Amino acid sequence: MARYDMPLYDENLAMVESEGRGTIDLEQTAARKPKSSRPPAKNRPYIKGTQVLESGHSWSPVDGRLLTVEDLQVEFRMRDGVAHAINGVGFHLDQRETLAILGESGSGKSVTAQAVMGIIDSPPGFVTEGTVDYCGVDLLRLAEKSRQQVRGAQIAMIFQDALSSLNPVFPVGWQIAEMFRVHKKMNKTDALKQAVRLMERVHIPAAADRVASYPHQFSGGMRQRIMIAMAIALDPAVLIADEPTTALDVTVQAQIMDLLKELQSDSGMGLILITHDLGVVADVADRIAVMYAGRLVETAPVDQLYATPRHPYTIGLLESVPRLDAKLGETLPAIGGLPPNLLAMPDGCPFNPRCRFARPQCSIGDPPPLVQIEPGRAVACPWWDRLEERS
Amino acid sequence: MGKYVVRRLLQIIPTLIGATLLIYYLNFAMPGDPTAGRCGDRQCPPTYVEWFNHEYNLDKPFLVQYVLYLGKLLRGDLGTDYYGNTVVHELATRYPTTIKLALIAVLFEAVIGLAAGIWAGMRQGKFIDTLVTITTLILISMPVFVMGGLAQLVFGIKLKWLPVTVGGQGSFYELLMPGLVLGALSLAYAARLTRTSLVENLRADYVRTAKAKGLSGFRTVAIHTLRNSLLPVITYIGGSIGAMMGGAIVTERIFNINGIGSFIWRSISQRDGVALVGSITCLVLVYLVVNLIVDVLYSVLDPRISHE
Amino acid sequence: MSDPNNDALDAAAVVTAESPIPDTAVVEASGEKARSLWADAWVIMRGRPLFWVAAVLIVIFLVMAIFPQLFTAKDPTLCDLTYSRQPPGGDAIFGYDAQGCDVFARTIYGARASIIVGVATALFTALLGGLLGTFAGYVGGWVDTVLSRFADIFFAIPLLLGAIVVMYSIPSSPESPFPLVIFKVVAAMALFGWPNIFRLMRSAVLQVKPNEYVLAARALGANPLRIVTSHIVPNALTPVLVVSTIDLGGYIVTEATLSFLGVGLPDTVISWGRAISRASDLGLIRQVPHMLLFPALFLCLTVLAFIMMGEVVRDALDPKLR
Repeated sequence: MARYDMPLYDENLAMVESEGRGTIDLEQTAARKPKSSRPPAKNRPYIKGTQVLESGHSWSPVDGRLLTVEDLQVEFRMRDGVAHAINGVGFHLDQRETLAILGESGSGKSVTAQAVMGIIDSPPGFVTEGTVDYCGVDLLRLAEKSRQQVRGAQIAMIFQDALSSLNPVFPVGWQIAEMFRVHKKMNKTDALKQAVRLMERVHIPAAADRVASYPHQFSGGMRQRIMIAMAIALDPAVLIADEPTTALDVTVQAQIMDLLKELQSDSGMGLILITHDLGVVADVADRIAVMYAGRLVETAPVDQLYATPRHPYTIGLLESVPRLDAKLGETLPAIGGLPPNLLAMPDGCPFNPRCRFARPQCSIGDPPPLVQIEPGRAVACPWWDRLEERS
Repeated sequence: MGKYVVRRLLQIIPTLIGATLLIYYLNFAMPGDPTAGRCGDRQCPPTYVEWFNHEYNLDKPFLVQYVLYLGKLLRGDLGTDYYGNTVVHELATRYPTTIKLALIAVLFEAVIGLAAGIWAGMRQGKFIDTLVTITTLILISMPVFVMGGLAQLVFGIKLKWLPVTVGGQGSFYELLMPGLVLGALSLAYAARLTRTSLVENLRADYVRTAKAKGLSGFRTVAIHTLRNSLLPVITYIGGSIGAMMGGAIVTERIFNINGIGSFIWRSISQRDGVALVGSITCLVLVYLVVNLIVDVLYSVLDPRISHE
Repeated sequence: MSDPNNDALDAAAVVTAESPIPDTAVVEASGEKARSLWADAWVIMRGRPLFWVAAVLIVIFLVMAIFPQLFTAKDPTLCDLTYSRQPPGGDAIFGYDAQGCDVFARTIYGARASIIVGVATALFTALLGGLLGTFAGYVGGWVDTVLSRFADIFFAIPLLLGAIVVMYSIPSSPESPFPLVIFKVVAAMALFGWPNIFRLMRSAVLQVKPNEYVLAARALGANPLRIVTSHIVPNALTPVLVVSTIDLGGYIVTEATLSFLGVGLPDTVISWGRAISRASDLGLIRQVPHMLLFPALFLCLTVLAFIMMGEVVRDALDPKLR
């Protein structure tokens, strides 16, 4: 197997934040071009969890660190080839912290969240590489049975479309109570009482009367509150919110975000907020990780990212946000082009076809790694400090 | 809920009237002699034709004929057959056998069809999935009368496992093979529908939620997916009773079962229009009522419908 | 009976096929030239053995229906009672039937009636149901309501039961010419088969109608007929095509069943249904099963071929199953 260092970026190699991407084997690079050489997808290795936890395992964060994800790689093996949805993503989350993962649809942000939860449909999705360390245990290596104890109880998730994400044929109270009945082996009556308490906790008016109602009988905002009630039922340490407000009206969006903030300050849980909406992020997040084509392209504390974006993609994203201080009649700049096809990624930096700062070197070789540029900040662009607009 | 049932009941009335009108029209208002065959191979004597036309109101304008017919129908009068027995009486004596037959068929369809469909759906793309897909395809392509003949040949004559024909009222044991044959086609459809529906629902967002809640794979499928997946299957199984009404004509003829199907078959071969129309109208009514019941049942199982 | 009414369920899968692909499997077709739906489907079908089995069978049976002489040199109407019920052997590879006719020759010649009835009924229902469905869906309002209720009435009567009543009311005499006999069976089945296509086409049109390009065409003042023929029909046609192909198999079964019951094709027409009917007396099944087996096998294979073809095409066109 031929291995080679990346000559283009070796000046920064020492500072690679996300480990394991310093060298790349040729085989994997070839796999990105399914048309020319289709790999025998069925035989490629992937991570199978086998480790079994004892039932009363207690989870405690090490130095306040809840979650550490390293070099996560996920691929979807499909008829037309292998789509590399996640290519070496790494991040961490502390208690009481809010991390926003930002990106367009198809950038892999939802897949990242589902990989952390362990709910990717397999096949076609496979986690091929990486670790998801939660309180000292690598979740990816856990046997399914043990992982079920973590899901929902330790790490919970809420989804974008609450109407389709709630089961249409069961009352909402039943669905919330199920958390207690399954994880805590609680009886039906007690579990329903808990459900009412949770519905009150997320400010659903007349909770006791509505506990037997069905999801379609609620408004969009109320449904999302029910999703949240279900997710926080067992006091999880980590809550992943996958575009929790995208489907809602602007006023309702703010209410839901306020609710999430309130719950977080009460319980001290870590929040991973997945969104494509820069406006949502600004008020809530502590740190931001920007994703593009299955990679992190920039990570930074929220105020620094807004003040001095370093990656051309982040710059483009920020420019496309409407501003109140803009002059009347000014056109809003947008990033031209479309996100790349995951089945046929461009050579070099995946963003180069759409990048207005791109240089000829950007379309050669392997994608640039995420490199730390100052404490707490990393960028996946070797030219971040020398960006020159293409004429 | 109650409102929904009332609405469905009101909706079915025009269909009922239309369907009976259609069948009545097809038989009595078509060109041709409605008394042909009533008197054996001979032409009926004019006095009989006159009596017949009067008895069945054929001497009146068509719509009046139909309204009078509908009135009789509501009073449970379907006319008399070739032998002078009332059609209602003939049907009444035969229906227990046909019901037994249909019951065996529906049970067979529901149990095996659902099991095969669920099994295949859970193992999508695997061997069992392919096996179910191909077996059901073969069953669907096989007309009931071919399947009946083959079943008689293989299980009755060669293997001697089950009786080849049925006598008298038909015991459960005797009706077993005909019931399986009658249910086989619907079974195939039910299995396929179950599979498709399950595969589709397994991809639904709420199944993802169930997984994210930390539920076991069994609970995710058995509690959260199956109920939703089986809703269309229940509708189908209810509707399949209609197809079985047709199938019963063939099955009862092949296995010599003395039920409603063989009565229809006898009416056809004796060219007894009154008996034929009466019994087919009856079957269509049963079919519509069963569908109505299934719809109401569906609305109970799926809260989205009844709460509209 | 393969009741074509059931296929409405299958058809729903095709109509709703345009659902968005979930975020988890996003594969934007940006870089590549977008292949058309049918070109895509063709690539998938090509790789499926079932498609080729179905295609070869259909071609064989079509040729058999048009040129039966290619398959047998014998005259199916030439029967000799001295050969009655002889088992397969010698130059009669399928044996002889009760009248001493060559079963192989009669089976080959029987393809014609079944195929014509199946194809004609499928065409007829597609045309009638398609036209009325498009009309009802496009015009909407009370026209739609009336047509839909009208279709409900025919839909409420199971195909076989309805066809029995029609065929019973207009019996064929032995002197009826072949085309008339065939037409009667086709008309009887089409009468109860069209609502299936009607519903399908109507819902397909209703789904396409609110699309922007149709609205744009309307706003630009295109004439309604042009909008329907150039924008709506091509988009709604796929499910109709698939269901018609599957139904075709069902119609062949129903015709055979009608003939089996003695109200379908008369004995003067060589058909599989009649052949099976005459072979399925219990005594005959016991003694000479070959009389039953061979026409039954051909009948099943024909039906299988059409249903299989319809399903392969449907699966290939359905993005959800990829």
